[in-house]
Amino acid sequence: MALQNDQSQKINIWLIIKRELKHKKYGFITGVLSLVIATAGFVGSIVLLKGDELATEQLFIEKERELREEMMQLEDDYRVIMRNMGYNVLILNKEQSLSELERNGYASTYLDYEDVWKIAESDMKTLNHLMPVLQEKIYWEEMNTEIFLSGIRGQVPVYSKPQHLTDDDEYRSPIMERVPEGKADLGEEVAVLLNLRPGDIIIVKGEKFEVNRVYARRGTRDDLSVWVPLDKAQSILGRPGLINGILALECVCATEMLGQVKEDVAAILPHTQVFEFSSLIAARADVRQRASKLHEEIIFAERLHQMELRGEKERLASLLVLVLVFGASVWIFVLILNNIRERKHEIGILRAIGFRRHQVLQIFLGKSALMGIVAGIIGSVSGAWLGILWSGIDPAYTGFENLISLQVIFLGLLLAPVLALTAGFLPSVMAANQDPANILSEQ
Amino acid sequence: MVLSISGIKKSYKKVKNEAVKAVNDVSLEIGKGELVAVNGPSGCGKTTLLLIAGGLLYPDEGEIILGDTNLYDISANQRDKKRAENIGFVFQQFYLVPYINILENVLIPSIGSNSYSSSLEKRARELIDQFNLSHRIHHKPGELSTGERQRVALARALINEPSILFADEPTGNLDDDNAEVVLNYISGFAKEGGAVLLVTHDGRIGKQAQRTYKMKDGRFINQ
Repeated sequence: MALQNDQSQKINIWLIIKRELKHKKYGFITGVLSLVIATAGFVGSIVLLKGDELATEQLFIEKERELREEMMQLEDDYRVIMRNMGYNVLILNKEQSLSELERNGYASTYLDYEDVWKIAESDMKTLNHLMPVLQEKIYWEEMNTEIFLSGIRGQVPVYSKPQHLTDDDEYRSPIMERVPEGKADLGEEVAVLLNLRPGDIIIVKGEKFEVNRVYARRGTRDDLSVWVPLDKAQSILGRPGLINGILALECVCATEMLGQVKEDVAAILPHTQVFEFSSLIAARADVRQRASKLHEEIIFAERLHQMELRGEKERLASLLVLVLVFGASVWIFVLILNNIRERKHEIGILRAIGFRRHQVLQIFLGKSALMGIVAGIIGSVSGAWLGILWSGIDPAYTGFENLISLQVIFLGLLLAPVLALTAGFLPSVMAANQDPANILSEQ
Repeated sequence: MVLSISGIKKSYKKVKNEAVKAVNDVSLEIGKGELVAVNGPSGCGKTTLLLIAGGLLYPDEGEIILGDTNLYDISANQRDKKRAENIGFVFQQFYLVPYINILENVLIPSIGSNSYSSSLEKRARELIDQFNLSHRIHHKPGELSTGERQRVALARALINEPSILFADEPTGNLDDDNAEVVLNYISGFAKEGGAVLLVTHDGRIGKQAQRTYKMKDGRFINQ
């Protein structure tokens, strides 16, 4: 009742509560403080755990990205190795003698260049990385030596595997790059023998090329090879529109599918035969499987470890919140009980002048509720703020809603009043049930 | 008749279950405009009688009729309401609420009777003025003298215009001058048509009463 300036205000239970709280600030403040600590502990620990979860998830994303990159690197390494070892499938003219192929090192029968596109444009899924090649052993008059001249155009896009292709139908990670127009790649033996370096100009049967690069020694006939664009090789060798082999890489883990590969190729190109290197396929599949398994094991072990850590943190947080809630409840109980003891005569006279039990109950429970509401607001806000601060997570980056949900704030706002009312209920009932006759007869 | 007390008995169980008869077969009637004093030494049962008459303590036997209502035949809530609307109490210890000011203390019974109104506040201000406390209207009880506190307690007892006032040693903590002032107010209430039951161990107070009962060992000895 603000009666200063003679302004009246209706006297009621809330006015009594307000006046008493003002009169006994210390008790109110310590009560609110204990509830703030409990509420802030509750909200803060949830925010901290959430922050920890987000940080862990971020760590996993980072780790998985690193592992994915390592896996891609492994794949690339593997492709390079496979390239160095040679393709694992070679599609030849059906008439080609394999013993002659072994003896000469190249096929003496031919396919149409268009044949490779028939496979590429089919829906066949068992082959990957098709590369048409025209290769022959020639005498290089300009240098007075024999070489293997290989005409290549890089990989033909396999349209049934669009995930490997760019918008320009180029391979994202080609296992063998094209030889640029007007250029030639050399095997090491050729380069050493003829003292050639990248940038040097060579003439092959009247065609001029600039040395593009020199491959490191492989210990195969590649060391004696010169690679030029396919059309140039066709021109030099007098085989326009022809190739003498299609190098192909089989699909992932396809060792048991070799029969299927042969059937698929025969269906599209009945005039061909498939020559394959099964040991390479098996090695490739094995490498891939091992790498994949290792990747899964690392991630699984890390997740398991993080789950254990999180479980421990949750247990610790629950225990802490439990202790805080218990402590606050006891403190509120003691505060209200002490308040009742101090206000015994006040309760006696209020009852004598006509206050009902429920009105006395309202005075004490109202005080508890007010304490809880104030503490709920302060505790929720400070708990969220401290949780964010200690989690080290930038909410501007993760978004507040991911770090702290409305439900948690709502629970925090609810926790303090419920706690205060629960702890204050018993002493409040005791106050309401005090016999005024006993109190007033003490005088 | 404002109050009728008939055949009241009340015993307390003390050590070894031995009953102490605090009030033993007491009867009296108080009409409008009557100030009745009960006089007796400490522990004779005066306060117990007053608490029973005021509807605060169940008697073992007998009945209390306030107006036309038997106070102990109605529910506790109804009795609280009856007390808020019809009875005023004044005690030796004043029992003012320390954290609210004088005007709020005088008005506090209106919460129990749910009777607050601007006219009631006007009456509170008039009572405060009548008891020479206007200059203290915004003060807390702790800032008042004992005489002033008792006058506030008296104003509080009268705010709901009770039909009867119960006063328990109302001058027990006051000096002679203040005691006289308070007693004048109490007898003034009776002269204006109110009923008063006043219990005291101070023999001098009985002078202003129409009737004085002497009490000893729970009984009226001069009835």
